[in-house]
Amino acid sequence: MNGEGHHCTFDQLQARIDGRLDEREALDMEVHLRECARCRKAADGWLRLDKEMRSLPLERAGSGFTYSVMARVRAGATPSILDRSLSFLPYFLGLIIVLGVMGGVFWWAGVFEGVTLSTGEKGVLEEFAPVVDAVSWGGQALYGWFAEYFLFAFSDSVVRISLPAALMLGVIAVLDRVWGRRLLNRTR
Amino acid sequence: LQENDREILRQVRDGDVRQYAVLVDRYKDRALTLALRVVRNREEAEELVQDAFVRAYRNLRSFRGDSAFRTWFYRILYNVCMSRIRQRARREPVLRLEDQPAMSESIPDREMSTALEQLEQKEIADILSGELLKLPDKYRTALTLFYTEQMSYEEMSEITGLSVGTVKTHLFRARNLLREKLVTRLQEEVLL
Repeated sequence: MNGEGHHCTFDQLQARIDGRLDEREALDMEVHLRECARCRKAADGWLRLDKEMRSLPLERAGSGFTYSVMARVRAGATPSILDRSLSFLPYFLGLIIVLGVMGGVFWWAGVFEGVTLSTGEKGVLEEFAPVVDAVSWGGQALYGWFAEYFLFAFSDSVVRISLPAALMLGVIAVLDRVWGRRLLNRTR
Repeated sequence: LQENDREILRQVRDGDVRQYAVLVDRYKDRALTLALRVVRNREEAEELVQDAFVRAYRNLRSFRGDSAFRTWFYRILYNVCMSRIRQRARREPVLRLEDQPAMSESIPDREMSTALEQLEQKEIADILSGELLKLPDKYRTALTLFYTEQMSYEEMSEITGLSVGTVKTHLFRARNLLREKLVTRLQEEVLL
């Protein structure tokens, strides 16, 4: 570069603009530019191009641009009916599990043994036997829960009531903590 | 600014969706400039920038904050734009300018600096923008990320998925090509 007949390459000139030359290279180049009119002119041209490129105006988005984006964001943030239904699935499954456990506890405690049906009730049950069979597990658990509550709520079996109730509330609280926040964020 | 972006993102993640509009306002013009330079069609560019903002919002949970939001967002925007360019190329194959041999460094300096001095600022900006849009995709992108978005080689590499070396090469060739086109154009302008 500094020898007679040697000139700066485009790469060197660009490196100078970008500040990629080390101290020694930068010094050599400045010395050369002072002596060589051709390279000085080329360097000025590159500098000017660099300056013009940096000062090119930005495009301006339309006035409704942000509104349009936010409308799409909000539309995307509102889950479909299917999404909402699926979001409630954990609650539903949690409830079934809790009720199942409760039903098991009450069955083990003999709660259902004291339940007797009238003739009319038996007739209805026989007529809808398939439906009853289908929901019997959850239904019996639910029935067991209420039976337990009403039979023993005012008795001395406070522990038998409060422990399962606390368990149930705990499970619901955990589910709500995990899924509720996510659901809230999605629907807000 | 990066810290401010992080704070806004935290609020958005906590459910305050409205705060996202602050980020949209902050980056929309620069994003549109990049998209417009890449796809060269304003309507398409606006649509793609919108898509990029919506995608970014939907994927906020995957943004770990290792890089700046700006870099992460521009990567999404770049991918959206490149995807559109590829779709377009499949539909209407054209001669790829970037396949042409690289510029020779022996092009004589044609008094670019002097020619620039004879033109008004507005004319220069128009000519430069016009010539910029004639460059191949990857060179337009490199120049825009470097000059308009004022990104470092490392950021450009992260956004484009190319190595830092390749980014430097693209930038070098882009500037050479732009310079050559500009010199030719300026000579025509000044001589007319």
